[in-house]
This record gives sequence, structure tokens and C-alpha cells, in this order.
Amino acid sequence: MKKSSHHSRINSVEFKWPLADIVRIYGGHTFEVAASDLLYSQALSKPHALVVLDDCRDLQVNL
Amino acid sequence: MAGVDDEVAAVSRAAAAAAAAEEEDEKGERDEAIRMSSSYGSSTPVDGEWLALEVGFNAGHSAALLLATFPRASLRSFDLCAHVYTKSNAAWLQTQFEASNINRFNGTYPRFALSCGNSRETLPAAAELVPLQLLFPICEDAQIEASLVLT
Repeated sequence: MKKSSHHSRINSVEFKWPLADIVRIYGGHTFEVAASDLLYSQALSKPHALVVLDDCRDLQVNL
Repeated sequence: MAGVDDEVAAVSRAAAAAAAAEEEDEKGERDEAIRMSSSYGSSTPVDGEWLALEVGFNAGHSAALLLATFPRASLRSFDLCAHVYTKSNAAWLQTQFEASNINRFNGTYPRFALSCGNSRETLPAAAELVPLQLLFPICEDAQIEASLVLT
């Protein structure tokens, strides 16, 4: 069976992307990972981009 | 006997009223969703073409919904790709929206692409930033969970 070759096209690093209008953060759900994602996403998005942060939890931190 | 019939009729009326109310609620939610999606689309910038950044692709359900709902939107996703289905689902999504990639955006970027890896490395790399070491000493449990998530 012929192996699919379209995996090679998945990675986005080869493209020149503009800054994002909307950011959705739904990766690691801990405080540390979400904070990291939020911080770095800022550099990839427009100044007034809409940010949706989902399911971040840390029971020991009161923000 | 008439009392029983009245009771049955009353229950039937109540059930019909409840069904009607539920149907009305569903219609209301549907209308609200349509209104919100219309508003969402019309308020987006740059001639209705916009880019969404997604950290956490997983199986791609949200990505599929976004790309199918907003034909003029593009999506740049990041994921750890720890699950076997993530890459294959992303590849399938690319095939589904491949036709609309052509002649759009002068070939500078596609409608959808996924970067695999730890977001604490792939995101700063994408932004051409040096990764920072984030430390939250009071979040010991979070750090443990984070290490589990990222390994």
C-alpha cells in the first residue's frame, strides 16, 4: 500500500503567516502551560486580537 | 371516570406545553447561535479574511468546524501531536480544504496547517523568540501536571 505523503505538507513553519485575529488556547490545561501559550501567542497575534482561553485550572493559585 | 379523563387531559396539556417550551428554547438557542455566528463573521477584519491561531488541535473537531463555517478564515494550529490521530486528522483536513488554498493569499499561507511539538518550543520558534523559562514555584502540582502533559 502506498504510504500517504501529505504529512509532509502539514507543518506550518514553511509559510509566511500574518498575525492572528483570533487566538484559541486549549492545549495543556495547567496554569504554567496555559500561561506560556498565552505569552507566546501574543507575539503571533494582532494587538487587539480576541483571545479564548479554555479549561485552565490551578486550584492552588488565586488570580 | 370523568375525573380520570380530566386528569389525563391535564397531563397531556402539560406535556404538550412542556414540549412546546422545549422546542421554543431550542429554536431560541439556534437563533442565538446563528446571530452570534453572523455577528462574529461580520466583525472580523481585513475584508472578512482572518486568521485564527489555535494552541491545542487534538482531533481537530474545532478546526473542522471553524474552517467549514467560515470560508474566508484560515487556521494555524499547534499541538503536541502525542495522539496517533492528530496528524492523520490534520492531513485529512488539509485535503478537505486544499482546493480553497489555491489562488488565496498569493500562496503565502494555506487555509490550514499544523505544527507539531511542545508549544513552549514551537510557539516561540514561530514568533522567532527565544524560549523563556517560566517558573511558578507555588504551582508545584501544576508543574508536575505540566511535565506529564509535555512528555
